[in-house]
Amino acid sequence: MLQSRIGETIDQIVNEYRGRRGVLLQVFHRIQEAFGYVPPEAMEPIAAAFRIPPSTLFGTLTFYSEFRTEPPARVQVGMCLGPTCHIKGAEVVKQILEYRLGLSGEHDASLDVAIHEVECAGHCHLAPLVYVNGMPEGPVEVSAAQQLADRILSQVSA
Amino acid sequence: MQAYEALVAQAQAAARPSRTLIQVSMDSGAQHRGAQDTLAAIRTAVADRGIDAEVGIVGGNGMCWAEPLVRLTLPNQAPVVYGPVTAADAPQWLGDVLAGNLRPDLALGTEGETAIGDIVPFSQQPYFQVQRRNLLARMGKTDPENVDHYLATSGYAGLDKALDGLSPEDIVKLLLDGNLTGRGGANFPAGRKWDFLRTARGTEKYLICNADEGDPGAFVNRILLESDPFLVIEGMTIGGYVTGAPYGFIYIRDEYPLAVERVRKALDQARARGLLGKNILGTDFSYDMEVVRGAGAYVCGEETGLIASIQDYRGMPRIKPPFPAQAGVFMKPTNVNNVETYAYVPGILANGPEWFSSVGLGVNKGTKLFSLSGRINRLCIVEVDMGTPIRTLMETCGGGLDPAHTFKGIQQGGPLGGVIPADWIDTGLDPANFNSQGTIMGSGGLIFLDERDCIVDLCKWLTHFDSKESCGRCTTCRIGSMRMVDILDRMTKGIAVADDLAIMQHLELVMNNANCVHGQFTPKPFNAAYKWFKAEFEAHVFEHRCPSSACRDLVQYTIDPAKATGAVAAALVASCPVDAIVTAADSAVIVQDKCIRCGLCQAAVPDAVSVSPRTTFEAPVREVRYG
Repeated sequence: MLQSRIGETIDQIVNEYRGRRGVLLQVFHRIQEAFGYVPPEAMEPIAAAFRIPPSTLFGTLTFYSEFRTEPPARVQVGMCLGPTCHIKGAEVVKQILEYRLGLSGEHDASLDVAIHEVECAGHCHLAPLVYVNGMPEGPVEVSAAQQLADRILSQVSA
Repeated sequence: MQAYEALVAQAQAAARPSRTLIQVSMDSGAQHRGAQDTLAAIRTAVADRGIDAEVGIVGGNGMCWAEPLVRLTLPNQAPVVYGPVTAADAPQWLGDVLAGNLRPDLALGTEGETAIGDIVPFSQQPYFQVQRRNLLARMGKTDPENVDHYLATSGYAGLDKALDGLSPEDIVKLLLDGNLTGRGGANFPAGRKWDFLRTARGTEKYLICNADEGDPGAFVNRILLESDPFLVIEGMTIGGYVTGAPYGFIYIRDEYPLAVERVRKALDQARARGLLGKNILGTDFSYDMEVVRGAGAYVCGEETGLIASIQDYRGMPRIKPPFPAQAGVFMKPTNVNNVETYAYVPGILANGPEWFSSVGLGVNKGTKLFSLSGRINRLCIVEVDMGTPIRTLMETCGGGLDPAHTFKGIQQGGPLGGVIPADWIDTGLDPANFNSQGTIMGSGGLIFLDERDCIVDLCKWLTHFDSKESCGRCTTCRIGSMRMVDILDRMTKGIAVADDLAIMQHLELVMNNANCVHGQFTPKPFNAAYKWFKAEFEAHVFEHRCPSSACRDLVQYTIDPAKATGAVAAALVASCPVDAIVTAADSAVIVQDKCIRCGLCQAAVPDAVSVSPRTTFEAPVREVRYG
């Protein structure tokens, strides 16, 4: 049931772009918007529709850091590690968040919460900048990192 | 042309000057600071109180530090810009200004020429006086999602002029006369590049706008695309006319979702008005374009990497030649320019080449956008004459640095750029001044540093970025950058050896053999930093000491056991975010293996905690001989 729904959505997206060149990134973006990641089931229909060998397809998919091949965690913590965030202590904030969220060490693979790096987009007045499920929080000073971790944990358990 | 004049007349008729106009600046910077909430609060207040006013949005005007900005145009009065106006302040502010109290305390200035009470005109404020807003002329004044605003402010005048009697050769000559050079950092004459494509064989040609502004700390293209997308589109449309390319791509990085959305909206509106697509402005010239959204790969900013990315491949740069003008997208002739370069074209056509070439204090001409970040007081985007001294930007525009700290230098040109020391402060911002010293000015990101920032650590950060973003094709780049990170990492951990400095310089020779500039320029930050901050590297390598106290692995925190008993001990234990402080024999002790040296314990109980240089290191420091 779920499987066929995934297939239907993928076919729909692929058909929208069928016959056009240079649209693969767009297709991946659309699929990721629909599912939160690009599921393995998507590979075959895309390969067939655009006549791209699955190996090339997979190469493209994994080359770009924005595409996920696995479902995202429920609460995603994005850390900006741009230069301004870096000099203002983003790395210490990251270490504190990792520790408080139980992500340092062996317990990395959690479906509830995950920390990933975000590229600098110039919102440096909020440095060190942290996104919680896409919502910007900042500046998260080193002294405020622990409270932020507590708030994230309450979102995780909610 | 008649078709154009009709569009302008229609656009001007849409504006209703007799009505109060309230516009909230809505770029992604403002959104990060709650501009949507401010807009919603204003809309609610206007609706609830039955005020006869039009509420809308404008682009950001570069004053990122004062976001969210609100622009108020009362009937018969010049617009006044306020900021920051938070959602909580908005209702009160609205009530005040409509009741006749213009709230000079919140006002940043007026766009008119005369002061309104205590509100000073922007033209009399140093921040604007040192700037020349050629590209930013419409910033914060027009709605980026409304083509009428663009048309009503002499938008598309350049395209009109081009289609109304100028031949492609004439336009190439205009660009060459104006000496417009590529703004992305390479400074190649745009006119010549366009001429390559114009004279290239075949009719299937492409234009590409490189908006994959990946340099961390540079965000000048973002404001152009978010606040005046039509300017770039008009520039590319003229490019289509000159070069004969019927189709264009604008490749925008994934981190700029608002820019993607705005450019797509702008393309739709331009098409609806006959300014894009078939038979533009009723002529037989046709040109269309689309947005390609990137997916987080820095190396796609390199033109051949970008082309590979558009063609559905991994964004790996390839060897040149063939250059894109011979074989670009789908192996067809292609021209790639930066956002700023395209944005300059309409103005040069409308105002003549002198408008561009008469400006500039140094070798290169025109104005340049810069984004100021780092330790600067006011985060902002400014447009100044090429060659303006760094001091002007830093002090007049950026509001200087925290007076308690000393200016140390600037990281410029992104992770493939460099670091320049504080004594460059009176140097003009002109690529020629940078090139003569073996570094580059880059695309406009300036990150200000003070004495708290360690150059070695920054170098490690920049090189790590380059290493992570290496496409992996050339071994020299893929492995070379990893080795550089390893060595810099050792330096910041106090376990580097004397030869490491020599190896870093050898690596530069090796990495020169990489195919593209990504690999070739990866050693640039280290080179520049080592040239001007040699003592700092030597302190790390020979003395295992960080003069800026920024390298956390080179210090250690200790608790004085006599001062850390009872309640103090409890406070110290509670202050540690990573549970590295425990109580042993009635007093608090730091478990050094767990300590991340965040300094929070010292902040909690300054008397009981001391910082000292670290004396023991993970690996024994040993001499290694190479070669």
